[in-house]
Order: sequence, then C-alpha cells, then structure tokens
Amino acid sequence: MIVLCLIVAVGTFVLFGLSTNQHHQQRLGAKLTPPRKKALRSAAWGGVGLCLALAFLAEGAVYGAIFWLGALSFGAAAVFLFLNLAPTSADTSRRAK
Amino acid sequence: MSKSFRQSQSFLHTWSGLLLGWVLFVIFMAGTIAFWREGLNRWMRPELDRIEQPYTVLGGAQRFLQGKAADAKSWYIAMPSDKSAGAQVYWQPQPEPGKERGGRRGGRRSRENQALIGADGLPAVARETRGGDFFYRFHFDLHYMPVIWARWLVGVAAMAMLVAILSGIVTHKKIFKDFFTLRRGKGQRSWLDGHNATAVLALPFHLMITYTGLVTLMAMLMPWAVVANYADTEKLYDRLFPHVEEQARSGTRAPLIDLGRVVRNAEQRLGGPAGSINVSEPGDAAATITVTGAPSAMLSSRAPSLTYRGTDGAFVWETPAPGGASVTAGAMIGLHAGRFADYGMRWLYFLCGIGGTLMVASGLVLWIVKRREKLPDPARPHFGFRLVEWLNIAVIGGFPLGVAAMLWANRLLPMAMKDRAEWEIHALFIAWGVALGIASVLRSGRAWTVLLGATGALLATIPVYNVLAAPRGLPATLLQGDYLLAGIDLALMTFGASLLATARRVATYRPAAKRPRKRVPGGGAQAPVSSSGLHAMEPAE
Repeated sequence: MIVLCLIVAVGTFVLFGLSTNQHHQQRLGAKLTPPRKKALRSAAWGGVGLCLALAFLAEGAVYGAIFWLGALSFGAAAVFLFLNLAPTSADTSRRAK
Repeated sequence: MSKSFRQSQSFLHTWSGLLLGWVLFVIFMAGTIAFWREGLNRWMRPELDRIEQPYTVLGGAQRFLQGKAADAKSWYIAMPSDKSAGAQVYWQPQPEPGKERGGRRGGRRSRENQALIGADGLPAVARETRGGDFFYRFHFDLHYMPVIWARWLVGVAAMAMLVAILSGIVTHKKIFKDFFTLRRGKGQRSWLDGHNATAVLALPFHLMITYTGLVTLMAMLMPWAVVANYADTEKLYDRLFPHVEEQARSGTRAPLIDLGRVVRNAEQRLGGPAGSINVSEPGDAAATITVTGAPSAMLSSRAPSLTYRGTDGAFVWETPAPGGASVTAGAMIGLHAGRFADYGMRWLYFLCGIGGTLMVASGLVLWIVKRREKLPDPARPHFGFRLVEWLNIAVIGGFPLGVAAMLWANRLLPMAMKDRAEWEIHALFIAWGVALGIASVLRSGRAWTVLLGATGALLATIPVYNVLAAPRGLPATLLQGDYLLAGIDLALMTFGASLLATARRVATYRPAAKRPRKRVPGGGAQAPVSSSGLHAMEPAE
C-alpha cells in the first residue's frame, strides 16, 4: 500500500509536470492545448486525493497525513529531477544524427 | 503597494537568510544526519553484534547490575532492540549521608557508573564514541559553548529560518507556477531555480521542521505563559512529566523480580515496545520498576510510563492521560524528531533534510552569484562580498569535511586512547579549522575544488576501509540482512561520489575565458552528473 501510494504520487506529478507548456512540448512533442491542460490538471488533483486515501489506508489518519505529504514531496522531487535532467527525445535524435 | 510589499519581503528574505545562514546550514545538516542517530550509534561501534534477542540482553543487564550495583539508589536500562547499539545501563549509587543529591533527573552519570551490555547479554567492550548521539546533541546544543547560549543561538536561527521561509514564499512568488522549471546553464537563474526547487519540493517539511523546532525550545524562547502560571518550576515539571511518588528505602532486603516479566506485561499494556526501564531502590522491599514506552511507538515524544512493585511485579501506577496542550507539544516534538518513523518514512525525512540543507547552501551561494555581476571591479570585490564568499567556502565546504574527518577518526583513533570520544569530535573541528585556512589562502574556485574533493574522497573510502579492516564491511552486512549498517555505507559512497563529481565539475569548469567558480555543494539527492547543463551556473563576469 505504501509503495502504491508512492507510485501514485510520482504519477500525479508526472501529470502536473506534463501540464506545463515547456515539458509537454519537450516530452510529448505536441503543443499543450488549454482543454488538455485542464484535463491533465484535474487528473493530477485526482491523484493527490487518491494518494491521500491510500496513505490513510496504509498508515491510519495520523501517520497517514504525514506520509501523504512525504510521498507527495518525494513524487514531486523525483519528477522534477527526471523532467529536467533526463535526456529528451529531441536530445537523443540530435545525438543520433 | 503590492510591489513594495514584495520588495520589503525580499529584503527580509535576503538578510534573515544571510545573517544566520551559516549557523542554519550547520544545524540543518547535523539534524539531517541525526535522523540516522540510532544507525550511526551502531555504525560507530562496529564491535557490537546486532541484537536479535532483546530479552536475553535485558536479562544480562539485570544480572550485571545485580552483581555490580546491587545496593544502588537506582538503575537505568535503555531497552535493547535490533536498532540499538547494545543496551546502555547506568546506575546511581546511594548518596553518601550528609551530601546533597545530584540533579533531579537521574543525577550524575559518570563513566564509572555506566556499562554497555552486548547482544549476548554480557558486558561488551566497544570503542568509546558519542556515535550518532553527537549529531543529535550538536543539532541544538552545538559544541564548545555553554548549552544555554547555544540554544538561544539555535532558537534565534530557527526564528530567522521561519521568517526566511515565509518571506521567501512571497519573494519568489513564481515558485508554484514555475514548479517544474530548472533553467540549466543560465548562471544566476539556474541557481535561483535550484534554490526554489529545493525549497518548494519539500516546502511542507521545511515549514513543519522549522515550526516544530521552535516548539522544542518554546519554554526557553517564550517563557511568559509558564512564568505567569507557575511560581515553582518543580510544580510545572510535575504537571508536565508526572511520575510516581518515590518510596523511601525500607532497609529490608528483598530480591528483585525478573525484569523481563515486568517489561513483557508493560509492553502489553502500552500496546507497543518499551523504551527504557528505571528501577529505584533495587534489592530493597520498597523497590519500584518504571517502564517507559519507546518513542518509536507513538507520534508524541512524551511516552507514557507504567510503574510496578519491585518485589512481586504488581502493577501500581500509570501516567495519567496528558492534557491537550501537553499532547500537542509532545506530538509536535515527535513530528520534529521523527522517532516514530519506520525506514520508509525515515528516508523521506532524510531526503527532505538534504533538500533543506541544499536550500540553505544554494541560498547563500546565490547571494554571492547575484552580487558578483554587479561588482564595480570584479578583481577587487568589497569587504562584505569577500567575507560572505569566505564564510560560504569555510562553512558549506568545511563542515562536511569535518564530519568526514570525524567518521575517519572513529575508525582510526586507538581504542585505548584517553578521552577518545572527545577526540573524535576534536577531529571534526580540527578539519573544519583546516578548511577555514584553505578558504583563506586559496582562490575561491580552487578552495571549493579542494574541499569538495577531499570530503568526497574521505567519505567514499570509508566503506572500503570497513571491508578491509573493520569487523563489519558492506558484503558482511548485506549477507546478514543488516540493511541499516549497509545503508549507511552505501549512502556514504553515494555522497562521496556526488561530491567528487561536483569537485571535478568545479575544477574543469571554464567560463568563457574566465576562472572557475563554485557549484552546488553536497547532497546525494541530486543526480551528481546530469549533462553539460550545470556548467554556467556561475554567471560570466
């Protein structure tokens, strides 16, 4: 359950990250349209809620709340590092040429 | 209006962050390390086996104390567990008639009155060290100075931190909007993005840890509520930390019941593991046994106690349910120390702590980076600039070097050395002093390279030394499934490698025909090498 919560947290921030113009363009190669941005954002907020539910189920209300914030921080940091440091498809195709 | 408000906050952020930033860096780093206090206690005493049978050790502790201090005034036994480095026992001899008793909480703990019981239940010989406890105490008591001064300094630094965080949220208003932005290779911007990222990614942690940190010191920082309501501090302590009435010694000898039986019963009643056992007047008919719950079993740091009669183990007293304020304070202190945290949660705490340390460090470096661009004559910066740069190198580069030196001293100092534990700590400060010298003599780029490189090399090689020369190397700990010790070795290697990579970056960095400069110090949380990006984190002059 704890692992699942962490995975959901990472997924949540992948959605948040992809709802920014720059990363969307870079990772998916398509321009971010306002409706898509909205959809990504709402899905991400759903993920925040799901993560909370999982954390409560796994650890109870007291520790769950703490773990929830910890998991979200972890997800945010992991996605932040990945989106900014992992090579993009543009990088790799440039290198291949 | 809003602009001037933000400007005022920006001013506040800069100066509250800068003036105490170096103290904060040291406090933050020591606190982050202290999340592995118990692990380091074991790591720094590699002679001791991991405890598999806590009750065997407890039985051994009781036998030892009965042989050594049968008529003591009191015994204290830290309940052994698989996380503890043996079981520490203390005893307080009967006060000599006519002499005042020592302090109210346990009295003197001189070296003659303590011992360490190993995993086999027999007294163990381990190297003398403060272990991870040093980092825990240093986090709020510092060192070489009276505790009360240190706590005031730490308290003021924590308040400055709270001010800096809150004003920082206002100043860097884009942190939420630009949540995922890291512009690499853009000089000052990159530093700013890095500073913002370490701040905002773990923002809930930073706010929590700073606020609850202040709560731990609240009685000292804001004593007025206590002064107004309690004329007598003894009374306050009795309210806050209730304890059973002490029985007078009867003078009739009576054997003490098996402590294991009492502790098992207490653990059932507490619904969790026991943390410590106090026996008062052992061997007397009036003996009492008090078992206190382990702080790992609950959020609040104020664990409840149960008291039993020493002769037959009858249950006589338990801590009354605490009041709301006490529970709140206890829970906040518990949240700060994270003693409740299992390994998963502890890692999250630790990573957030690294984020906070990097946040402080990058903020301090940012001050320099931002002002270097505006220097009228970059070759001859003004005094304030030179001072801040010097302190940055000496503290951000120097303190980690000191920690690495201390860990090596733990391994290399002779076992029989006098005041060995104290010399391990001296080693930290001697190395820090050397770093100060290096920062004064070398140019900034060189100084960063030397300090980061030396720290990285020292950290990365300790696990190698452990394999070759210490009782518990990485292969052994992994085979035994002792992931606590293995994790510390692996973390040291990761930190070492990151620092070496960073040092190499600084050394090879050539901004368009200018000298190399500094870089994000420390930290395994960030991928050490990414791509060419980090280069121009320093703006060209």
